[in-house]
Amino acid sequence: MTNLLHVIAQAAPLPINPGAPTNPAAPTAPTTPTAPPFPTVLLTALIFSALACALIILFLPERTKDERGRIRIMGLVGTLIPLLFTLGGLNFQMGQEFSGGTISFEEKHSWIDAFPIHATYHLGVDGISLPLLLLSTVAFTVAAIAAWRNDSRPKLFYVLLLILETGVNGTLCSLDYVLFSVFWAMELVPTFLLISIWGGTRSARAAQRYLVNGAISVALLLGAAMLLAFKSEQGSFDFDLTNTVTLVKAIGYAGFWLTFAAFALRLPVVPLHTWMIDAASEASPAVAFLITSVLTRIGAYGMIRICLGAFPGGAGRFGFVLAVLAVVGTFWGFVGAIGQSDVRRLLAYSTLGQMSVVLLAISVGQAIALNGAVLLMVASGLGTGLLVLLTGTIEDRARTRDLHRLGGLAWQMPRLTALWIAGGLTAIGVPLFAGFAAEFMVFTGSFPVHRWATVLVMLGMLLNTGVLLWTIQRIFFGPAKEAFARIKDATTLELFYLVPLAGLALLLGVFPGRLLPIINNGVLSVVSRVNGGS
Amino acid sequence: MYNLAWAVVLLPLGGFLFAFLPESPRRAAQVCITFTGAAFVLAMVVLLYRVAHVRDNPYQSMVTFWTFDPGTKLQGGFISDFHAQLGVVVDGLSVVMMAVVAFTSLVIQVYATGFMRRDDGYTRHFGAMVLATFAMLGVVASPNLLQMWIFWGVLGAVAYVLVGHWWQREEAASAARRMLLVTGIGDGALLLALVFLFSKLASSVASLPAAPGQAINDPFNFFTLEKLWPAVMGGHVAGSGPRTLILLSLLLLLAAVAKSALLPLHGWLRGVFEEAPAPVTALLSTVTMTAAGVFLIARIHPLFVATPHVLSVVAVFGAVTAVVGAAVALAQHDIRRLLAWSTTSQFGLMFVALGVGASGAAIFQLVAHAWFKGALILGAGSLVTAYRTTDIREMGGAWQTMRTTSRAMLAAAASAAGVVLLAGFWSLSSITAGVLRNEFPNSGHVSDAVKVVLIVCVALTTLLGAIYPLRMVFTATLGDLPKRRGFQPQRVRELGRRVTGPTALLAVLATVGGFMGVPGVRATFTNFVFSGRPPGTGSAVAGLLVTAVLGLLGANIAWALHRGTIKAPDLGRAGAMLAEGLRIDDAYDWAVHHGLIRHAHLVERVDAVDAEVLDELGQGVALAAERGRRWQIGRVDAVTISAFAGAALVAGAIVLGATGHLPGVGATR
Repeated sequence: MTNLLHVIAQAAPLPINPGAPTNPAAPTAPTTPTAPPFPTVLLTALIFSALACALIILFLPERTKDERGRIRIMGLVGTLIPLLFTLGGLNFQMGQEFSGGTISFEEKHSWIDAFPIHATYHLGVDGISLPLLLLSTVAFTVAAIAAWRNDSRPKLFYVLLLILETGVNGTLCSLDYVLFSVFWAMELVPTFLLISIWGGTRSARAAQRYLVNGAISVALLLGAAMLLAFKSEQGSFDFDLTNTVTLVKAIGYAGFWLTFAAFALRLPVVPLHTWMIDAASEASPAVAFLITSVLTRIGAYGMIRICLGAFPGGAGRFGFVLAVLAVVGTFWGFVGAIGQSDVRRLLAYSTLGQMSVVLLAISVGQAIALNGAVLLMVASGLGTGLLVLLTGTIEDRARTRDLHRLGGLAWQMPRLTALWIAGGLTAIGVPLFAGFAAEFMVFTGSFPVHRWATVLVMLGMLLNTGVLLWTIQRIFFGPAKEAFARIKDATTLELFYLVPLAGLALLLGVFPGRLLPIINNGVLSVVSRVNGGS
Repeated sequence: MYNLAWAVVLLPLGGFLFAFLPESPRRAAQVCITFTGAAFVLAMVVLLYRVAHVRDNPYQSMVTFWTFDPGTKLQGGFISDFHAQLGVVVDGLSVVMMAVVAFTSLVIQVYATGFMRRDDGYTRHFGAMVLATFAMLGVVASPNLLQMWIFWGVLGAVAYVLVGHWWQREEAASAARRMLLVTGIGDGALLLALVFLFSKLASSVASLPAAPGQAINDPFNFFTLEKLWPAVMGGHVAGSGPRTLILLSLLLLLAAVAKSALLPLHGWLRGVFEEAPAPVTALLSTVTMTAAGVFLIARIHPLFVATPHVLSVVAVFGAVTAVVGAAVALAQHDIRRLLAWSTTSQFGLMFVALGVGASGAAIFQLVAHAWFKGALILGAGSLVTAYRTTDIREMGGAWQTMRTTSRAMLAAAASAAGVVLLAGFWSLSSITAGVLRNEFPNSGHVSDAVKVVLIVCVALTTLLGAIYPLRMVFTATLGDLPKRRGFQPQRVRELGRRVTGPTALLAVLATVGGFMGVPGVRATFTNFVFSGRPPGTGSAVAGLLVTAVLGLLGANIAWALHRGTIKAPDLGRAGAMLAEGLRIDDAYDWAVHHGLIRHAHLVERVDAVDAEVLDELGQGVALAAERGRRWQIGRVDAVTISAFAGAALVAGAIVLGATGHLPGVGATR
């Protein structure tokens, strides 16, 4: 906390390049239509607006109902502002001409200059982070609405939610290892508290597992960052400078495995996946939604950005191992899901299977596969997220999430059934729902490199489809049950956040090509390093 | 004029979008029927225009709607050959299929207005029906494999909603899931084929001169690839060869087998027949779901022609399915199961036709099958509603009480049996003629044994296929009304003109519609469908004679069986196996349950151990750091901070080791 205040205090008065062009590569040709001058504090504002709202909430009382309502509205505002900034940035990017691997909305200020460490306050987004930023800001807004009815300590909840959002958005935007690690570490404590305070009976243990895993991953990440910093000019931790470093093979491999382990703890990769299963099943629905659809994606983002981007040698050398892990992940997720009777654990295992497709794309490290991976992260984040939230609403009504006791719920809740089917079809990648184009691209990219792994992952995905369909049947279909006779269908509030989520998934499925130019622009810089690196 | 083909595909989609606007379900059905009807009219316009102008331009015309060209939008890096196109192709095959799909869907929807009258999910049913029509029209109009895959997937998802229409019943929900999962195997195989095709041939396609009127070469385009297959087979394309094509065609065959419900992936079709409403069954088993598999192979037939070994695999697959399906159908008393097995058998025959190179005959059979099987399914739906049973032995007497339905069913069954001059006769005889003529493109590759097997199988299927539909109709409609307890004879009546009309219309077409395809004539159906390809040579007389004899023989046996002048032989246990559909589905269920689901909980147990190990590991790391710890705080925080510190130590050691700062470890600088 104090660290971050320090960041803000230091960053503001020390602008090194005020008014720097937003796009340093573009203005070489004076004839190209120059972009309208966009304020370069966009990302700072995007990241810290959530924190600012959290600060305001800290000073609001929560004794009466009205006061709690005010806290909720403030929490929603705190998630809406970053969303609006992201949409603005995305809209601006859509109208842009692209040229290889440009970073947009870049901000760079010197930050720490103590002798061995030269960290900068360096923010920027490219095609990899911008779509994920969209996913993250949408997800946090949805989570803020989804927790609306939660009446136990809303103040603490929204403060933690907004701090978590700051951490996630900061991780996606930082271009400096120290800054990245600070934001990465900033996600830990809020998530820990969010899981343990509002979670189920065994949430304390799940939260602790998450925290320990997270702490280890921060340490591993910092270790890898030091590897690069030792080799770069003046011990700089800036992505720009560390990316120019050429590493001896062994050091490159060591760094690759360090960062891979750091992000595999989050992605998750078998056998480091157990925290995710626990956390996703024990946390409250809104938090479980954030864990499965945002936090795991941040792990994959880190893997693409840092494992591939900073240690391309290892990516080329050990791609096969990653592909094998992806295959193990899909089948582990499938078998784990088919044996489950707890809906939330089932979805967690199914997420494990879906993220293995992303891991497969990372193991290849080629343009088309990584484009697909980024698109898939957004798409399946929406699809699986929808399912997790729906499980929450069902659990809320039926007072159980045991598949043996659920059944026939479509009698009482046709709308939620339709939404669940839409979410399920998105998650399994049926054409014209988000994700189908992404999976096709991932497989097209990975097949020439890892043939058998691709075929096996495809088979695993097909089997996952079967599990999700079986789940739909066991929750919703069949004769009506006496115990659920008084259950009501979705409320307006629930439709208010569920329908846009489903709509966005459908929109991405019908127009998958809209985001591709942006994504590709970001993927190119990573790919050129993988191909060029030793 | 060919631009109208666009409207044919998109109109049903419009129907779907507008179906949910009106408040009343009746209006929604009217909207759907209007849009489908408009699509059918336009399809007929396109078809007639094509018929009139086939001499001017026997080849296909392509209308591209949307192109994804990475060259303009995505610079470098991205695979530059990755062109995706959505469009409509207008050639004999697609215009015929468009007209048939739109027509059959229209007729079935009119039937559904009567049949589903008091159903809760009326609007949903009609919305899904038009959406399925849209998806199938998208499939048959595809100029490339990518678009076909997309619409296959959409079709499967919509069919899931359709089959699960009566989701209140556990069995219906299971049938829907099984359908989507098994046909999903087909989708997966098609996806793999796409990926494989792209990795092998995309660069070769890109280097070809672009097709006229096209800026770029679509790597999945059927007509571009068509020219490439022989070159690949001859080994003239770098990185690919005969093995590429054989693998590719096997994948496509798997996709088609799953979608067309051929043995051994036929199980889902029975569920559709037993659990879905009759209109859904009729739509899915005649012109949409199952037809998609046959259409895929017919569309990409040049690939199979280039790999004749796989072509004979197609034929054998079809022949075995046809015989087994017919034999099992003969042993059924449940009208819906009987029709399900008969559909499997008929699609097997179409695969035989495709396998012997008579792809025109396969499409002819597809069209005739849509008519006679459509009439039989719709009529069976009326019978089941009237008698409240599915066992044909408990029916009877409909000949007097349900006059239109029973007569329509008899005509359709006679057509299915191949009784002379009816539609089924002409289509069956063109298949028989194809098999007898050995129309194998490279017949040298196929051994005589295979030819004999095929001829025997087709003859046996024709004979059995003449017996079971007629016996079914005789048993179900002739005789007296049943006299069992609780039976209400007054319920045995027609469901109204909106139900009988469509049934009769399809039956009339099944009777007289075959004259468009009299085999051996020059300007015939099959030559139109594949115009531009050399028409089949040789005489069709043998095929006509064999079919006529076997069809009439079978019809007589069916009549004799019904009258009791001959008795069906008692096959003992084998007969019981046949009646239970050889228990193939049970074997699958048993394998999935005992092989997988029962042991799946082991994963969670392993995961629990894994979590324990990780916990221990984390605490071990923490302990390492605890040695130097002075301060005392809460347990969780302590563990976390210690874990962090311990991991930092480990990471630091790795860093130092890798940079050569630790003696004796790691790389030299």
